[in-house]
Amino acid sequence: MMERRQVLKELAILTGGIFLVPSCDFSKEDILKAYKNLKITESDKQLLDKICGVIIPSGSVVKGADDLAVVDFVLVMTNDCYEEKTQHTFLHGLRSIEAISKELTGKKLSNQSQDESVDFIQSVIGGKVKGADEQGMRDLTYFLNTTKVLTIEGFMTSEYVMTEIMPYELVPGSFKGKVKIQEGEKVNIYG
Amino acid sequence: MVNIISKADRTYDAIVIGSGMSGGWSAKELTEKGLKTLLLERGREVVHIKDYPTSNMYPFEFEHRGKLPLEIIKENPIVSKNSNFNEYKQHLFVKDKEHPYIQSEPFGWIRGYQTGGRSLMWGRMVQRWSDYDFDGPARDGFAVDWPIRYKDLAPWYSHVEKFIGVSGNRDGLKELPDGEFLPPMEMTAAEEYFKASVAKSYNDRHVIMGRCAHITGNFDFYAKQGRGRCQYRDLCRRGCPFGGYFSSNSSTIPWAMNTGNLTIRHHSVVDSILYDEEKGKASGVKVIDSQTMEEVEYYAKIIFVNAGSINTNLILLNSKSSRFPNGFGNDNELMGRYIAFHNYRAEISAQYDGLKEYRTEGRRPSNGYIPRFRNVKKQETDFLRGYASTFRGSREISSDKSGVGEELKESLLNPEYGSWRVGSGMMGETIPKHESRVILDKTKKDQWGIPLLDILVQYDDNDEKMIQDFHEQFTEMYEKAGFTNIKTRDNHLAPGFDIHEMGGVRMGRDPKTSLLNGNNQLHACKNVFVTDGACMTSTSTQNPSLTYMAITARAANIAVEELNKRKV
Ligand SMILES: Cc1cc2nc3c(=O)[nH]c(=O)nc-3n(C[C@H](O)[C@H](O)[C@H](O)COP(=O)(O)OP(=O)(O)OC[C@H]3O[C@@H](n4cnc5c(N)ncnc54)[C@H](O)[C@@H]3O)c2cc1C
Repeated sequence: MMERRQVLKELAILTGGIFLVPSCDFSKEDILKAYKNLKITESDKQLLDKICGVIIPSGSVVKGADDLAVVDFVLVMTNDCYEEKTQHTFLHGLRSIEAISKELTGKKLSNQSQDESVDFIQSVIGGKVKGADEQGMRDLTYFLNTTKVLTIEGFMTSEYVMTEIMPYELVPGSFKGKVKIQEGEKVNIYG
Repeated sequence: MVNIISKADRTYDAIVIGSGMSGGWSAKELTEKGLKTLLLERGREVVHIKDYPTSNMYPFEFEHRGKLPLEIIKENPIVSKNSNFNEYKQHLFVKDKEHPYIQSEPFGWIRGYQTGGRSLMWGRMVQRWSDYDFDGPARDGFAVDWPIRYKDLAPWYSHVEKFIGVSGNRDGLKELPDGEFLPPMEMTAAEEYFKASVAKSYNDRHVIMGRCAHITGNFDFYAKQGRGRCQYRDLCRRGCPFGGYFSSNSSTIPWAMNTGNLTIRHHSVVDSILYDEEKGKASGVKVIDSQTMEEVEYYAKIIFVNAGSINTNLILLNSKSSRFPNGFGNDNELMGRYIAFHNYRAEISAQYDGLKEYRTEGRRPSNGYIPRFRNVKKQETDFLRGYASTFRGSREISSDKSGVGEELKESLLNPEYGSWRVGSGMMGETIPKHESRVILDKTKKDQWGIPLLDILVQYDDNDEKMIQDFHEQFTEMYEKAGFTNIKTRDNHLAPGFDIHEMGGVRMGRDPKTSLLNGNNQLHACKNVFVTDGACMTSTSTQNPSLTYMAITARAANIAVEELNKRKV
């Protein structure tokens, strides 16, 4: 992880924030070098970041997926660990979300409020809505489910959650097999 | 550049091939007894603590949180079937291309080529054999009779256990003898419950705390090895910076080094053992330097072959001379045959809804264990031998993940205790058979010009019956305990993925039907000792490495005695 972060950092310095490589693909926009299997552009990433933030929103007490840049984790995983075919589906789903939300709710996702986006995403994941383009809907559903699973994983295993919210002890020092649970005890999945 | 160093400088009292679990013990015992010993290791050097790059990393420091990129998985269809080949410790496993082999039958050959071999990544479960195990072949009419019995090995089990540190209970079971134990690890509430439930329903079945090679007491003693207590991190297989579990790297090799009698040479692939026709003895080994591809010969009075079962077979089969045209010591053409393993295919899982007032704390690096209960005292089923099993019960913690947005976040931040998740995995004895073997391919060679191994090992009817019986018996035991949602599974993994491959150079009394005598010397060449898994006449059900170590320590001490009496 350190390596890619380092590369990104250095590239960011060199390019003034945006990492560009010439692209020959479906978009006129340049693709991000760090995620070259996925062939994703900066605006794709911004949209995905927003979706991650809808799935786990930021709050006054606990940070959300957007504050923690969980989008980077979602992209790393889909770029490195997924089959080419599912990467296409993922990207197609991401790129169709604006049009489909416009078709079904009258608003592009990027123009929706948090509550509107939550309702829209829930209705797609729950199979409660039908769009004109059936294949497009299937890809969107796959994309949203995948993004949700990865956003949850990225959030729960973020440095922030694992140190500040549910501390993971690197050196527990002992093991107890039978500890009585106290009333109102806060449950830590890393306990 | 060949053999540029003088012959005298390439001559030692003893040569040990392989620095893994058994080679580390050979090196320790031989150097302690004053023998100038050369330890030859084909892999790179891995120094305790210094070379464990991931051992102190938090989960979030791994880019893929432990998963491996698809590219690596696709390049490694074999080793990636083992769940330990992951982002935390893939660097310790041999990649498929690094040392290819032929699978005439599917076989998972999982290796670690480095200082310490697989002692770095092992599961650390250590159970003694009993005479019910050593008696197996003779009683049930397979393989050949073991030339040793429990009493021959018992003092050596003790010797090894004291040094490596074994945590466990004195359970007083004849089928799983007690050893030199440090304080046991705790059972979880669900495990204690199941133990009591099984004890109530069966008088021949026992759920115990697994005996594991972790330091849980006698701390001053282990401080002399530079090792500290187990910290319950359960990150063991990355290498332990505390030395809390036993590996050759943390224990036997530095100990041997401290005697001043050990030389280790890495990147040294042993190609073959050299035979001196005049003296009728092995004179040394031929090594290929894996970095320079140079050939070098080393000489010694005795040779311990500890390359890890299958590689030991490879070296011996590849050591051809006019005296041994079919492999070193292979007069009866049985070398490479009677390979066996442990049947790990059967699994079972369930849930338990009692004892919900309890949870656990910390991460225990071990399991409950159920010793073999089938066919122990007499034959009672329609299959031979039996199986041991793991047992594990841990409290599930989960969140409702059906929502999106605020609702999802709330539930993720407030997880709840669920049921106890319980499960067991079978460890079945398999029968070594004439047709189960490794052979050298006639034409194909590896990067070092050594023939490729072809592995021909399959499950048989006995194994299938055992899987069925395990599923039936454990379903019954789980039902009696009131567990629900019981699910049995056959993981269909090929032989070898148990990583307990054994045989090919078996011990026995008769040179016509075995390769090694009761001292682990080749019948046909007494200054060559084979003490790793290759020597195993049968497999029983226990995790085998403790037995390899005990056999090795015993043989090394016999070797020194014989040397002193000028018998080898
Ligand atoms: C994930 C995992 C879990 C395990 N769990 C358990 C467990 O709980 N309990 C248990 O008892 N066992 C367990 N095992 C098995 C255990 O690791 C092995 O039985 C043990 O390491 C065998 O010791 P060895 O010395 O024979 O071989 P190894 O430890 O494999 O060492 C062999 C060494 O020889 C070297 N070598 C090979 N060929 C040559 C050559 N031609 N020239 C020079 N050097 C050579 C190798 O590089 C290696 O370093 C586990 C293994 C793994 C991988």
